[in-house]
Formats: sequence, structure tokens, C-alpha cells
Amino acid sequence: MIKTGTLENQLEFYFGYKTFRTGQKEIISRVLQGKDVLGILPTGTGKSICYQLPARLQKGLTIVVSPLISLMMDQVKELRATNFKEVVALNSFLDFNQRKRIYRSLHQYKLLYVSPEILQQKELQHYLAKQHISLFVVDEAHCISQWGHEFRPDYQKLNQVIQLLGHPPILALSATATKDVQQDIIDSLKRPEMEKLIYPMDRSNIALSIQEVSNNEEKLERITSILSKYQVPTLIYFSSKLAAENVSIFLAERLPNHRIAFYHGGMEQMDRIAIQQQFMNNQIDVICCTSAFGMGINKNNIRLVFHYHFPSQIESYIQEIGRAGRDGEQSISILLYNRQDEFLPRQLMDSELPSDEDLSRVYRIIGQSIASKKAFPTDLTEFPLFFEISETQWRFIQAQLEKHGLILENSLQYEQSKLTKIFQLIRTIRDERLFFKQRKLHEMINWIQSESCLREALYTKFQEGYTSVDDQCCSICGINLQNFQPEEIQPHKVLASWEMKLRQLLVVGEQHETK
Amino acid sequence: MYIEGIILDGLNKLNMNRSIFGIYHILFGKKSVQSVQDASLFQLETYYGIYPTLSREHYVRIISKMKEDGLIEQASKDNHFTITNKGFNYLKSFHKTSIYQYINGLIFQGKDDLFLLRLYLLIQTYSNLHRNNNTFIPIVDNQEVMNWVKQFYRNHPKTTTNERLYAEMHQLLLCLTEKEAEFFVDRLTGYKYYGMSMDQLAVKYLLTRDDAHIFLRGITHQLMTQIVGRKEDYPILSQLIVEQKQRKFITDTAAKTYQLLRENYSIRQIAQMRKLKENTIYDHIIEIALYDENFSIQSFVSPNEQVEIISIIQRLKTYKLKQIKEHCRDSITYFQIRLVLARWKELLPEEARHD
Ligand SMILES: Nc1ncnc2c1ncn2[C@@H]1O[C@H](COP(=O)(O)OP(=O)(O)O)[C@@H](O)[C@H]1O
Ligand SMILES: [Zn+2]
Repeated sequence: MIKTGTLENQLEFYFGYKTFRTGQKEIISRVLQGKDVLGILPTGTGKSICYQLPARLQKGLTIVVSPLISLMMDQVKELRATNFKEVVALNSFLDFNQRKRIYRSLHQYKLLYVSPEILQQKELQHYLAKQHISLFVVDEAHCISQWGHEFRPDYQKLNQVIQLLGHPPILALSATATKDVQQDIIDSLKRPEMEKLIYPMDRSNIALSIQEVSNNEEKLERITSILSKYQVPTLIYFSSKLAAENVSIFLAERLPNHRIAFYHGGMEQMDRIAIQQQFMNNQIDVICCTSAFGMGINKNNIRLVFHYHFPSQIESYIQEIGRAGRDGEQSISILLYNRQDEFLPRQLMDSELPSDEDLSRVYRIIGQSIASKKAFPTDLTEFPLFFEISETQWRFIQAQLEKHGLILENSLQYEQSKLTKIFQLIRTIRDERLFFKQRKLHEMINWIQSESCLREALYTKFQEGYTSVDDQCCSICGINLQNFQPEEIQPHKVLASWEMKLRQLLVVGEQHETK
Repeated sequence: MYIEGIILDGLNKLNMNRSIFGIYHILFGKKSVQSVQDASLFQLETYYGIYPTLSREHYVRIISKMKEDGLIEQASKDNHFTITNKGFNYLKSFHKTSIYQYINGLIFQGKDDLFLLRLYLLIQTYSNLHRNNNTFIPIVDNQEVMNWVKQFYRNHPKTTTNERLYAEMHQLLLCLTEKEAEFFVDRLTGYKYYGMSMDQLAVKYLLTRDDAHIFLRGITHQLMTQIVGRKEDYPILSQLIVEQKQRKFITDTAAKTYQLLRENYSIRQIAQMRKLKENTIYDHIIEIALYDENFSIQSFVSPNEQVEIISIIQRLKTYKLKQIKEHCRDSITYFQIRLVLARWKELLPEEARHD
């Protein structure tokens, strides 16, 4: 093992990369000096190395809080494959005994991935408090902010855990965080001195196109005509599961040579894995999906990203188009805009937050239950039904109640006047959020309708400057599809019979492999 | 095609004794006394638990579609339906399908999913190991199954396992039609290749989403039937199926009674022949009911009587014979109550007995 030498040597020794990518070295050296860092690096540039390398170099344990279980598992698998064995992930898939075993042997690990929910467990906290924590990493840190596009209530409780662990140095990482969100992260973690290292997120190899249409048929026409010219890895984003399914079936009929599938959060786990991995393996060309697709997807040759429906925030849009062209090659993002689409996100917003009526019903039920000592559900999943609201609405209310120290449990004692006050506050916060979301939507629509360079208008909200693009910039500056000549996919040969397929799966060696 | 056939078969056998949701609960595999009992009372055991992901809303949609298509008609009672002539013809063609022959719910319920998950991951694992690839994204994201495959691998170093697994799979799939084997293999995942999702399979094989599920379920039951029937031919694959509960012990004297019952002697005759009290023969019959789940209790306690006893047990939430007897009509005997209880406790998992 090398303990000395330049950081580059160590990067190569442990990970086999010759040079750092933009931002990595700056962030890592600050971390190694024990400083608190907020790093904003565009997706796909290698945020993970920023804590994986320090974890290997430093004494003690590095904790990584990550919201995505599948992502954690993949990283652990990859790290173990590079011979870094002192790494483990704690998530709700593990059973009680497996967790227990890990808790007792924490001292053997150098890198621990946890979900924010599990980190709230008193037992784990007890064991962690006995360890020397060299670094506390908050991955996808924008989840801390209520104003972020993926708010996770449990992220706001991280500060308490950090205190309990004796204030280790913090590294907060994100790919998309506006200035407000950055400030929220710093405030919530209570580290005003945190150093911000922010790297540009504009992607000069992605051409930005907005095409206005007057109805859905026209959208389908545009997509079909472009896809019939290009058989390349493609994503088409939708705001509804049903639309994703229907369009996928429609396109499959219109484009028989393309291999098209859909993906959304309503599918069974195994089918989700299957579709994702088929796409990774070039068994599928086109995926019609909702925003549930893409997190943690590491495919570097996606060439086309369509938005059949536009997202309700610019942040989501940037993240979704950012899945194109990770390899740096020319790629195109096409947003199909129909004025009527503006209703969709509005409806969604209304259904996500509780209405006045919902709030007074929940307030009344809680009040009555306390007064009459009636039981609350013991199973957490029963609350939405108990209050007759949706799950997302309940999650919002629950987070607010918890913030005020009100946990609904049996034989709860609570003054009516305090309860009234809390619900007044909740209503104010609901209004603020609704207002905020509307503002975000407005921002998105304004950008769609902008009449000057789309690239400039998109990125200057997040950062000081951006790299200007001469050739394929945007649909305002002009895009020339003739010059877009991406490498096409060579579809696998399809084997004729089940017997051949079975042989191929189990007994055929490397040399017979189809390409 | 399949889902409608199954619902028609259910309606036919329930013969207006239950609402349309009686079938739903059987398909869904509801762990309640009523559903398990219904399944056996009305000979719908083969459908028990074959569609655990079926939602109530979706089921209602299927029913309305069947009504629209003229397969069933609303009866005078709410949520009750009768089968039309068109429906009977449909049912007849369903009875001719192989899936109808294959499907065997109550026996394989719960074991079938585990069998499939283990098989998928086992094939993916050996396929990858064969190409010397140790890291891949597992198609089955279930820790228990992963642990099982790991354990299996420890006991079966790879050198010869691939060939043997292939041979067993090949042999096994020959019991299916071409189309069924094709479907099943299309679902499998291996080295740098991921199998089709249920939706993709439905499109490719021109099935509805529901039918694709049932098609797969039927195939799986057929495969399991083959394996269980000839374990010695499938040393690897038989390990994927969790063991049946240990057969219970039956006394020699009860076995003698059982033999006579099968020769169609009545209880009184058997008592006389064996010079035993009738009550002793009753005890034997309870023992037999516990021992052999295929032993039919219908000739001792009629479906109607079973329904009455069950509803009383449910209402009183008790197993106390005396209390149950007090609430039944007089003609029902202690023996009949004990017989129902014997069956019921066997069929139901602990936690569901009291709902
Ligand atoms: N310095 C580097 N040189 C070459 N490849 C790198 C470097 N750093 C990261 N990568 C690769 O870039 C990819 C994306 O890294 P990851 O950390 O997953 O990105 P993200 O920023 O999206 O979290 C990974 O495949 C990783 O191995
Ligand atoms: Zn431009």
C-alpha cells in the first residue's frame, strides 16, 4: 500500500484512473485537510471518487448517506470488485440479524453506505457513536431542501446525527442545486463556514431543441420521423405512466425495427431491473419512461432525449437531459411543447399537497382521537386511509407534525390550542410550497418560451457563465440535423429456438457469443 | 382468455353461492378461513393464490369487460353473475387449454414464486460464472434468494454444474409445448443479456397482461409437477422447491379404518366389523382428515353444514366445541364440528385463523 505520493498516484493505485476530472482534486484535498465542503458537480462526472478516495486514505469510518438503495448496492458491488472489501451498505432489505451483525462489526469497515431512514435508528446511532468517523458524506444533498426537487424529510434530521457522532467533517454533494438550495444545505447542516466548490453543469455536447406542436398526434409524428432516421439509445420522458405505456406501444407498431419498451415506478421490481439492464446492454433502443427512470443509470451513449411532457421544474429538466452524451459525443435533447400541457403539472401539484378541506379533516380527526382516546393506526401505512388523503399528502403533513414534535401514537396527550396553532402553521407552509412550485413551473414555461439563446437562458440561473457553442447550440441559434450523425446500434442477433437460447445462456463459451 | 376462463369456471362452480368477490379472494390467495374453505368446498383449490398481484379495482374492470363481451350477466342479487351461453362455450374452450391442466394453486401457492426467483438467479449466476464474470446486476433483488444461490454455489463448484443444469432444464422444458417453452426461456436472464419483462412477453405472445401472468403461473406449476414427480431426474432443480410439510403420523388402527372407508363401508359397518365403538371410528376419521389433505370430508359434513359451522366459529371467534355446538342447529354433531376444525387449522396459517 502506498501511503505517500501525490494524489494522482493514489488515484491510479486505487482506482486505475490516470487523472482527476474537473473538481475532484480540489474537493478531495479540502476533505483531506478536514474542511467542510459543499461540492456541486454535474451528474456523471464522478462525485463518488470524492469520498471513496478519502475513505481509503483516512483512518476511521466514512459514512455516506444516500437516498437510493439500488445506487448504494451497485457502488458496493463495484468497489468490492476493485478489491476494496471494507465497504458495506445498510438498507431496509437486510433482515434483522444481518443488520445486527454489521452493527457489531462496524470497526472493520472503512466505508458505510446508509439510507437516511436507517440512520435514524437509535441502535445504529449507538454503535456509530463508538466509532471514529473521519468523514460524513451527504450524497444528493439537495434532498435536504424543501425547495429542492426531491425533498426527503429524513434528510433534515441529519444534523442531529452529526452532533451525536461528535461533529465529523462534512462533505455535501449534489448535481443540481440553485443558490437557495445551496444555502438551505449549509443552514440545515449547521456549518456556516462550509466551503462551496461549484462546477459548471452546462453540457456543450447536448443541443437543446424546443419544438412547439398543437396536439399529441403531432408529437408522435415528430418523434417517429426523427427515430426513423436514427437508431440510437433514446429516452422519451412522460409525466404519466399511462402515456408512457401507450406511446411505447404506438411507436413499436410504427417503428418495427426499433426495440422499444416502457418503464415507470408502477412496474414490479424484477421487470424494472430487466428493462434498465436491457437498455444498458443495447437490447433496447428506446425507453418511454417517467421521471422514475434514470437515477443511477450509467449508460454513456444515450444520444436522444425527448420530453413528450415537460417537467415541472428546470432542475428536473437539466437532470433528465443530462443523461444524454455522458461520453462527450454530440447528443440532442428535444422538448415537444404543446400549450395545453401546462395543465398537467398544475393538476399534479394540487394533488400532491393537501387542500384546505384535507387539512381541516385531518385536524378534526386528530383532535377527536385525542379527546376520545381513540386509537391511531399502529401500522404507518394505514394513515393515509385513516385520514382519507393520498400518500404524498400524508407524507407532507407527517413531516410537518414531526417538526413540531407531534408524533401520532396511542394515548397521546396534546392541548387543543397547540394543535390548532400547528395546523395554522402547516397551512402557511403549504401555501408557501404551492407558491414556490408555481413559481418553478412558471420559470420552466418562461424558459420554454424564451426567444433568445436557450442555452444561455437555461444555465445562467445556476452558475456565473457557460461554454458557448458554435455549431449545434439550440433551436433558437439553429440546429442542423444533417450534421448529426451518431453511431448507430448494431442489434444483437436473435436466436431462433428456445433450445439455442438455453444453450447460449448456460453452456456456449465466449467464442460463440453473438455480437 | 385464461383469466376469463378461470372466472367463468369459478362462477360455474360457486353456482351463485358467493358474490363475484369470492373468486377474487381465491385468486388473490386471501389468507382467511372463508377463502380457503371456499376453495375446497367448491373445488377451486387449483386457482387458490394464483394471482397475488391482482388488485380489486383491476378485477372489477375485468368483470365489467366480461359483461360487455356478453360472457356473463348481472343476476338479481348485487355482485352476483350468471354465465351466458356464450360464456359456457368460452369455458369449454378454456377447459381444453394446457394451462387449465397445469394450474395447481393450493399445492404450489407461495412455493412457485420462490422456485421461479431461485431459478432466475441461479441461471443468471451460472451463466455469468461460465464466462468468468463475477460482477453483474442480479435480476432478483431479494436477499433471501441471493443467500440461497450463494449457498448453492458453495456446494456446487461450477465446473460441471452448467452442463448438468442445462441438461435438466432442457429435459424439463420438453414437457411443455413449443410456445410455452419459448415463452419461459424468453424470461430468463444470463451473461450480458436480460430476459423479457412481463409486459414485453405479453406483447410478443399476444396475451393480455393478466393472461401473461397466468400463462407463466401455469407453466411454472407444470414444471414443478414434473420435478416433484421425478426428483431423481432433477437433482439440481428439485433443490429449488421447498420441502412439503412432513407427512404426519397415522396410527395403524386409523390406517385400518381408512382402508375400510376406501372400500366404501359405512361408519356403523366399520365399527361392527372391527368391534370398536362408533366414537372411536370418529376419532380415526379426524386423524385421517389431518393426515391426508386429499381425504374428502364432504360425505360426513355437507357443504351447507360446513358453511354454517364456519360462520359460527368466525362470529364467536372461538374453537370451543361446546360453544360452537350451542349455536348450531341441533342436527349438527360434535364430530362434524371437529372435522371442520381439523381441516381448517391445517389449511390456514396461524395468524389468519381468527379473522
Ligand atoms: N477521474 C476519473 N477518471 C476516469 N473515470 C472516472 C473518474 N472519476 C470517475 N470516473 C467514472 O465516471 C463514472 C461516473 O462516476 P459517478 O461517481 O457514478 O458519477 P456521479 O457524479 O453521477 O455520481 C464512473 O463510471 C466512474 O468510474
Ligand atoms: Zn443557443
